[in-house]
Amino acid sequence: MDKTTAGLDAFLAISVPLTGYSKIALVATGMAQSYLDAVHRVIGTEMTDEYLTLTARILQQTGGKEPALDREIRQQLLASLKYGPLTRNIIQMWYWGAWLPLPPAWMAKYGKGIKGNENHFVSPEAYQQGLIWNAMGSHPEGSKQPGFASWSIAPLS
Amino acid sequence: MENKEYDVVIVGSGIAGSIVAKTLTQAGKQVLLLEAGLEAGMAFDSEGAYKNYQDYLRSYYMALAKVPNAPYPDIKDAESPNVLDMTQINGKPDTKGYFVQNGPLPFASDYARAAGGTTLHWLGTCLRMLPNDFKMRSKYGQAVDWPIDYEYLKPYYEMAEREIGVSSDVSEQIYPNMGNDFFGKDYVFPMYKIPQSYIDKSFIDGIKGLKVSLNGDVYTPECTSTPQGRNSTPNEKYRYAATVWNKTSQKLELKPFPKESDVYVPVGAIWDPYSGQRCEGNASCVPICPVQAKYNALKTLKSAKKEHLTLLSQAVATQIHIDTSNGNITGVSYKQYPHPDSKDYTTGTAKGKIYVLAANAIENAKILLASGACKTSDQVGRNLMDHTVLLTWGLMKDKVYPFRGPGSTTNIPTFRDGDFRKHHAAWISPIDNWGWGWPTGSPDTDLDHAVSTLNLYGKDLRTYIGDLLSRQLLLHFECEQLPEKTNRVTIDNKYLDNIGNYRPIINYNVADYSLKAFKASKTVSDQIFAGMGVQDYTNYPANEPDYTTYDGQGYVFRGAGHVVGTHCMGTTEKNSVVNRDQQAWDHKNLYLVGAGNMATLGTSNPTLTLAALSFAAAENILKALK
Ligand SMILES: Cc1cc2nc3c(=O)[nH]c(=O)nc-3n(C[C@H](O)[C@H](O)[C@H](O)COP(=O)(O)OP(=O)(O)OC[C@H]3O[C@@H](n4cnc5c(N)ncnc54)[C@H](O)[C@@H]3O)c2cc1C
Ligand code: SF4
Repeated sequence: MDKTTAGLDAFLAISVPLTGYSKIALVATGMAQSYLDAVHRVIGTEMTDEYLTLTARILQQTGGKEPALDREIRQQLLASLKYGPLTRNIIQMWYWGAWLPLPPAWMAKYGKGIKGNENHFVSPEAYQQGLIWNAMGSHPEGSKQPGFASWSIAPLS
Repeated sequence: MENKEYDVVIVGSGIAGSIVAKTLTQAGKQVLLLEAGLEAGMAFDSEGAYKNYQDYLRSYYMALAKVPNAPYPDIKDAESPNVLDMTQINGKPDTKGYFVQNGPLPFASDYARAAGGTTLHWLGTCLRMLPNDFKMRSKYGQAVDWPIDYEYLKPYYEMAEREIGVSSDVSEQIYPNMGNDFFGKDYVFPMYKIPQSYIDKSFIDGIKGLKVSLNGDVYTPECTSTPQGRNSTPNEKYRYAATVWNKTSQKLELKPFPKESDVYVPVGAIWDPYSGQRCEGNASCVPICPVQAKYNALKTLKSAKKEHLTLLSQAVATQIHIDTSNGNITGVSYKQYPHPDSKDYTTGTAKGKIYVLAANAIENAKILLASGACKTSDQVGRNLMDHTVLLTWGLMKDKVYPFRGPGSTTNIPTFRDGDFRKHHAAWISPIDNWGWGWPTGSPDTDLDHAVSTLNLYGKDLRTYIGDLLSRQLLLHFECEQLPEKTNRVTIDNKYLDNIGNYRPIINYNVADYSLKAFKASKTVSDQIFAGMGVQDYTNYPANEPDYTTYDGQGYVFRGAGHVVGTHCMGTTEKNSVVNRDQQAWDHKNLYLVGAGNMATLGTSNPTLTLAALSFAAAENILKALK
């Protein structure tokens, strides 16, 4: 497996607006490096670098300020045939912990020879660190149990 | 082992087999238990048990579809059915999974072939059957009456509630036509009720005062807390220490605590008695409770008397041998596999004075059919039943925060019994605590929809998830099936597994009696949703495996995991496989245990009843061994 810490800051920086969670919350999951590794593993170094250069430029040009940031994320990332599926995967990986297969049309055009694109949880920890549970006021099913009778009142946070 | 004759040979270490093994060994009998599942699952030392269970948990975390069998090893040499293998059956048998599904509808439930059996992934709902459930023929002109009644089972229900460790408050347990003495004077459960969920409270508040019409009658749906086999706060009024065999009276009895100050201690995890002494709200009871606060049969098996119990794992019973002169069973053949997926195996024959099949309804039927046993009635394999579950779902007005706590903590018992059973099935309605997970695959399907279709990201995505997933409501309408001769398990040489054992062939359909209940329960659901202002999202796509129509309407039902029938008890050797003692009519030293004995289904999840019956069977075996 290719492992690299290069790009981690850039990856975290763009993950903040993509997920709607603060940098500290994302770092606290302990998963940032694993998710970046997963991206790297599937799409390779070149495309990862290219992607993170682009996201860094977006953040820099907009100064991270709305509404410019939203426009650029939508136009340059989500609407892009190349980066849209990847961006959606990164968002879903943070929320659910799993890598989703990049669609066949994307694979045909950009993903020749790519391996490991099948649907899989990045690791058991990734499932347990999914942001979705916090977003809905719960905890991962089967983990981080909140204790006896906790379910009979509204969540505390 | 080949030469040793045991008092009793048991096949299967699920709750039925484990209760019999525990009761017999504690009464001093020598027992051999054959289990098809892996050796690792049988570890009872702290380290071995913990490690094996952590392996299960890891598989669960990594599984994309967290279906009931997701955590447990998929063994080629002792396969388990998997709900993911179900498809629509179009003319020819579906052989994709372990079951050979002949249809017309696919049988929608599974079970686990691993030490401890299907209680590893059961939910743990523990309702007693109602008195009229045993009298369907005389009361409602449907199906058959049992050869036993509620009164007969009552003391054994108490033993089962102790063994499983049921949490409930008697005062809240009010069901239709339950009679005056359903629980007996002063009865309490071992533990107080499991707290009802935040959803339950909103639901109970929302439905207050609502009247619903059904078949021209008006009902007020009531909600009650559900008795559950998971650990809660001990009830200090509970006074029983154990179920013991009284040699003098030749009966099983609940023995009181020796001292006034003794209290019931919840049974924790098999690797550590202090883990899991309370339900901690992991919200993954199906398919796995990480802390074993939920009962599973390994707890019972662990408390069997070790000196008297021989466990043989990776041993798949294939056939019982019959002495044609008197019908007695002379041995059980098994195939023992050294590796889970190889074609190698060794064979052996286990011998005892008495034999007990506890491999669950479908596997028991298979073994009997493979042996040409219990042929007189021609009922082996027939009368396969399940609760056919109609689901309805919607969004509550306010946030109710599902995906927390045990799967269900409250139910609507109002339609569990009534004169309508002359015309259509009764049902029970659990209120689900896990959002739309079952019908739509929430929460990850909602996430995918939000990101890929609604084009949400960032704070908007977070808000959307927070709103949608915290308002999800799911109701079950678990409708009883009646015993039908044509809903059956058979075997055929054409369909064998990896080591040459039969795979179950299943013919299955849903009769009008249950279909009418789909229509009736959907009417009730519609009125509840309208009355409470729930936005209805229910839909029944025609491409679902168990899509069916009635009276011009389409419905999709699911299996409840309640595999019942196939060797029903009855009044004569002509109409049934076992007698009221759960002894095979045709083979005096053969006892069948498990939900296969149940003559009708009623609206209770079957395990408490099969556990009660297993105590009764153990008592009968002890009497016979005297
Ligand atoms: C998803 C789900 C949820 C459920 N929830 C509930 C609930 O809330 N309440 C309730 O009452 N019930 C529930 N049930 C049903 C419950 O799990 C079963 O009724 C119960 O576990 C059956 O117990 P058993 O001992 O008869 O069979 P099993 O538990 O299936 O045990 C059979 C044992 O025999 C072994 N075996 C099988 N074949 C052979 C062979 N040939 N040789 C040797 N060994 C063999 C198996 O490995 C297994 O250990 C649920 C089921 C499912 C699937
Ligand atoms: S809610 Fe959690 S702790 Fe409680 S029984 Fe279910 S899985 Fe176990």
